[in-house]
Amino acid sequence: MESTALWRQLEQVLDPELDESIVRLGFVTRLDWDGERARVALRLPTYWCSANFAYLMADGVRRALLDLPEVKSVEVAVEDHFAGDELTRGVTAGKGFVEIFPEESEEELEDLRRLFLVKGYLSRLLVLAESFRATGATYETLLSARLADLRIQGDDAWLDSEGRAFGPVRSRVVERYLTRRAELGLPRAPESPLLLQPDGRPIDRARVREEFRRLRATVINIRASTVFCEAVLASRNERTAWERKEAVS
Amino acid sequence: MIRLPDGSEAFVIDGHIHFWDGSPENWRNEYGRAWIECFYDFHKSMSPKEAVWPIEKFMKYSEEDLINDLFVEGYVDMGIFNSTYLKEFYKNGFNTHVQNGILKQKYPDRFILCGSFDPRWGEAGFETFRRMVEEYPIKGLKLYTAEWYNGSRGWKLTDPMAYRYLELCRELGIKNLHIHKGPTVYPLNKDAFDVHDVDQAATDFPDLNFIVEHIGLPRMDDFCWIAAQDKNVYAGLAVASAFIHPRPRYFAEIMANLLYWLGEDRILFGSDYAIWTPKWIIEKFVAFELPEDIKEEYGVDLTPQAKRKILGENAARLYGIDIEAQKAKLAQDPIGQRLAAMSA
Repeated sequence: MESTALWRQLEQVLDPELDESIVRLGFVTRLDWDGERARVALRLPTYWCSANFAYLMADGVRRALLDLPEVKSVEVAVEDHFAGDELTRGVTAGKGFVEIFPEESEEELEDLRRLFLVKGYLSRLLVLAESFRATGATYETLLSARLADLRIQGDDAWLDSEGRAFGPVRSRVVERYLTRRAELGLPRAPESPLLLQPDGRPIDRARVREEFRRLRATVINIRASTVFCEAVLASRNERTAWERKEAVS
Repeated sequence: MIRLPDGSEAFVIDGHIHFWDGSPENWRNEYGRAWIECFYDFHKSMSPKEAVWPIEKFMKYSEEDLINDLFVEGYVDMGIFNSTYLKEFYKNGFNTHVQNGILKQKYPDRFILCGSFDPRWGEAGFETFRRMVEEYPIKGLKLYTAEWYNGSRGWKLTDPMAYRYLELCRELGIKNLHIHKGPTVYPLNKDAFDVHDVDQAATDFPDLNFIVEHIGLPRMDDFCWIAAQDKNVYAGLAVASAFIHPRPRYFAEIMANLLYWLGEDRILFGSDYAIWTPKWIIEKFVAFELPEDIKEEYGVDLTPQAKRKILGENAARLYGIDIEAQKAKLAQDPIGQRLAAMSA
């Protein structure tokens, strides 16, 4: 098996807060593969990034790679991080968060994971809705639409509703929404509404603008955080590359 | 002071400044290094190229740098010292009220000095807190819920002992609390930049003002819902304001959200000096206009009046500053005289 298969698995691991792949974000600095054992190094935007999120990503890496039958063991190193040693040892040994930090943590991270799955869902929902609105669909169109009205053709996606086709929007936008909707266990039947609240309720027609304003705050928060993290990581990498060069010369 | 495009003048209170010592001599351990390097990455990644400092200067800048960056070049009339202690990382602390107090003493009309408390001091800390308020002209507090202390890695405003300190604030007449709820720097899952503790404390202490520094980023959405409920919760723009340079569109959306959920009376400008210098932020801010589609979507606008409030009038109101009287005082102090001599 080539290491590209491993990279594909790593693509699936998300930063829970930013709802974006850790590979796209540039957090994976190394992947060594000897045919049995995979060794991965992660470097986060700052030395202080929350240990809980760092754990979710590092453990996500371990699980994603172990899903491949060829992978017998996984070592995940979290570099240049205040809890790097504990995370590296703990995650590689397959320990839970509380087991790694018994003194300082109270509960496993399922609630946190769920919270950010929901935030990511809301963000994907808004992007989907805004993309179709930009092609002429109204809130009313979107609230009346069913999943069956979606049509994906290659890189383009359409919404067939009210006797016309709205689109094209990028099919990735639709797929990201549908993936997360499935992860939250929301209805996937063709006749179910296109847009659903994270708890499965439809969006209240009378309050649709208000609901979308709330979504916007969630999304701009995620986007601003992403920009900030990416920029800070770039600065960090540049700085340490320089320090390493200085140390060598 | 800066002139807005409509010709009016804005009195500027920078709601978030520091005079820190992050130099290697002050590092207590590896964390001291990692802390200032992280700040430097914030600085470098968001500042315009011409405003980027060498890291050596960033670690420890002089009094003259601060005076120049804020008051001479940076349009700032007054600054609020958000004292930050970090004694577990820095031998003498990072920028304590004692360090900041030296400048406050030298230029009393230019600065508002914040002190702090930490509920983990327990009852034994009440006396220390009282003494701090007696000995220093403390007008507000900077509360850092993510600070490490004796093996604990953070606290919440709703901790019972925190309430005892808030009651003490009432008694001592301290009304303005700047709460750090911002990016990163908190380790474990007692998520100390979670903003929900502000909600309950603000409801229980309606006579105190809770200025949420960094608008809770990366929890801005939660912050907005809370602030919409509690009228004594304010948005401190430090960090968010820096987006105006690299990501003006996001800055516009952030501002639209704040104007929509809180309104123009509850937003306070801050540069987070020396992470960012105020000059470029303020120049861009006064010229900034919300894009038409955002104005329409949210039904809000960043008018000259809103800008004046955000830049200084709101902070002046919270701290009981009469702007016209203050201007007259500031014209007489050494910095005011220096500015007058420069423009003569």
